[in-house]
Amino acid sequence: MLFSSVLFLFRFLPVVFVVYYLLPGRWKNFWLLVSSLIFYAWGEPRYFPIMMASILVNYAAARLMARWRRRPALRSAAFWVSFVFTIGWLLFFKYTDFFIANWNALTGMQVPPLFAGKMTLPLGISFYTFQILSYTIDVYLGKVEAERSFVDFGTFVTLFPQLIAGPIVTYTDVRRELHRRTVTAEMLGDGVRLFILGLGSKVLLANNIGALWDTVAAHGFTEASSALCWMALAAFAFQIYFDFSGYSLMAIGLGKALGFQFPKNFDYPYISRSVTEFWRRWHMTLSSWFREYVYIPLGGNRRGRLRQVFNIFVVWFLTGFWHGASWLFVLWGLYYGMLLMLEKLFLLRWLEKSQILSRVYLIGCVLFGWAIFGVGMLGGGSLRTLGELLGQMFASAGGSDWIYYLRSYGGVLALCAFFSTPALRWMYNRLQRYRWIVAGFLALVLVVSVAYLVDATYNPFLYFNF
Amino acid sequence: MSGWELFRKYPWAPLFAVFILVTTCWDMTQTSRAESELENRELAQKPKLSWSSLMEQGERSYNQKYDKYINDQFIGRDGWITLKSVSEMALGKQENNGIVFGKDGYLFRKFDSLDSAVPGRYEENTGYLREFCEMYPDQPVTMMIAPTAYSILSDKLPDGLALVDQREELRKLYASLPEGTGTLLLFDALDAHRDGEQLYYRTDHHWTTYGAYLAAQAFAAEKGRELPALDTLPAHMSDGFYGTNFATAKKIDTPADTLVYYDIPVTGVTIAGEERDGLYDPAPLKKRDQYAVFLWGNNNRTVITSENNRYPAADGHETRILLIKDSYGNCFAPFLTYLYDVVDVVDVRFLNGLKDVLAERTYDDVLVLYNFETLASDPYIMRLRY
Repeated sequence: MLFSSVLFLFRFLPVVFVVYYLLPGRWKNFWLLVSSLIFYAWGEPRYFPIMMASILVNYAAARLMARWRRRPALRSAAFWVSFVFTIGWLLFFKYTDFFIANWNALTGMQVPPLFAGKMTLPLGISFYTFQILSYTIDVYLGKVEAERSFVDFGTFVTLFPQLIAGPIVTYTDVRRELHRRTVTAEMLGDGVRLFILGLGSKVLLANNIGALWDTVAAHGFTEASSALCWMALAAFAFQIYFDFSGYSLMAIGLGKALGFQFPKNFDYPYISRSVTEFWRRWHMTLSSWFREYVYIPLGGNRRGRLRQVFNIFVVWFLTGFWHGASWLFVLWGLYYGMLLMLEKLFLLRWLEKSQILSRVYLIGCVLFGWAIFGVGMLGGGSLRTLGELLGQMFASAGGSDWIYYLRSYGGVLALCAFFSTPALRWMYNRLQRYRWIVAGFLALVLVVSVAYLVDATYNPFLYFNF
Repeated sequence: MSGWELFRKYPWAPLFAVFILVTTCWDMTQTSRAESELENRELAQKPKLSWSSLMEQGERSYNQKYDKYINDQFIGRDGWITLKSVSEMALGKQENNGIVFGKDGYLFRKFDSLDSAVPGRYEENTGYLREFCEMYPDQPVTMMIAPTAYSILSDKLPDGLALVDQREELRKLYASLPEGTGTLLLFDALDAHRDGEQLYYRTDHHWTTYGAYLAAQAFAAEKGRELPALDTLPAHMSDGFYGTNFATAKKIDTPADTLVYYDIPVTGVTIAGEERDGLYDPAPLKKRDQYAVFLWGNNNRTVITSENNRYPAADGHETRILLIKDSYGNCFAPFLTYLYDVVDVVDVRFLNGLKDVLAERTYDDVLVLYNFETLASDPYIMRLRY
């Protein structure tokens, strides 16, 4: 099920929350587990057993690791079994066909693809796999105690707000709240506010602007004028930001209303002044996951310059690869890894000198990144498509098509640019005393969002490949 | 946490709860509507739950059907659609659901590539047209592909929008037809009158009766004949016509169209072997989508007899034209009664094939009338070969 649907808002949400608030504390997790599993199975019931198996195996492995505290060999065995089992599903579903295609290209063999694009990935597998891994690794390293209650552990893994599109919540983030939590008036107030803002980001901004990128891409970039290609790329940059951060906001808002404090995931990334800063503001939970579970275990910056460069390379290779099973995503990751290294070496010092140039630099870098990424997300997108897009952008190709699209999308583009800045937050802080203005704004966003959901013409879910 | 504190500091939170709960309860007490007049389509009904439907993928799966059902039957659906439309207009959007908002209230399908409906369909269908012409060398076939609204009313398109060049494509298509096939381009006939009376509906994808009359006149001229002047025929007008493009675009400030139909005397109208009372079905005139008034909507085979024919055969035989058409033919066919004794109308979307029909006799004329956009989307044109 998706948050941005009438079914979620006017069936799932009221039933789950009413029952949740009525139930006594010790039943709350059980209810959350049941409703999260229904939420998960609604879209794709066939993957339900895989989810259950992942929960069971990791729960059991952690219990065994706790029992075998003094038997390192057995303890390691339990860890590696659950590790391979958990990441195995991800590799199997997401990367098998990629490996087969590359194998074929290398050897000239004709191994047929396994899924051939006919199966969708298990919903949210890239997200929940990382969440489970964080738990199992932490238990193995002795950073955290193994969870005793199967229900509590199951609730952690399947918790519906962040199940399908992040934020990536680690076990340590929510361990305390998993066992005891309260919902304060402030949490409810913030929760509802963030949920509505997230819904608006996704439904009103991302969906509306995304149609522009999809239209231009569908006709082929070579058919469009240069101006239209630039507009389309900007549209994609806004779509991915508002879609992704919108989902995260909805998740954080729902979490608060349930008594959980999920970590922040996006912090106005487009106002950054360097790529380094951008990645501190973009999909923050993913970056910190890779830092915690890949970069630091590899030695981070403590084993010399050369090793650090290698570690950065690995992290960004994996970051790219996590976003999709294609070389374009790897390229996208390595592109950022390279920029970050350049900034570490000298660029950062230069960038600090200018308010304006640093922002122009960042927007340019990010747009180029999204060109790689956006083409990677197109069906059949390849390096050639990327070349066509970039070629067209700089070819000064004439044409008046952009007039039509600017009239159609100019308003949404302007709104997207406005909401990419912290202007709304600034206004909210100023309006503390005028609560009813805030309420009116939120009501407007909610009602218009519902209208767009009822008459949905374009409401894609972007993370099938993540 | 006290309720009062919540209400005072975060008034939107209780409001949100009330909104969701009240809407949900209200929605659940509603009975399902069968169809939407505004959108001109049947609405999804509650799907049946079964194991196999649960395991199905894609559109046929239970959960997707249920999603659609909840959406289609949502309380106040028409009001939500209106709200979305207003918001889109406020943002300056120039299109919705693949319908472009043209000037002066015209709505056009965004036909910006031959592959925009079904990739490859245009190539297939034009291939079937060629095959059809080759199959019946003894029948006098004339191909008349009607241009759709925007290619005549190009000045009504929003600035900067380029759609498929039907003039160019039709010239290519006609040049590729087997020798001996009659062809008729309607551009000259329609262009000459584009600043006069409406040739196409603003809210619908069809041509107006006037547009159809001009086409019929062009066809008659091709045969060295002439239709009676339109103002000699008694006219009926029906206001409040909102057609298919409106139902898809749902642009609520679009003015309604006026539909015109003419009293053309006939001696018999037979649809699928059944006698009907006249050329027009009065029922659709009470609804928003009124185009189905013509020839009682789309039917497999319609035979019109009349005493209007101004050009009886020299040898006294009963002259007969076979019109193979899509819905553009519905308001067009009545005019043919002035040129032939019998007008035989077939629509292969509702007929399994044409072999039997064409084996009955050699027609005095066989006219194939499709609109250009049908060629790029219709899945039944292949039946011309059966």
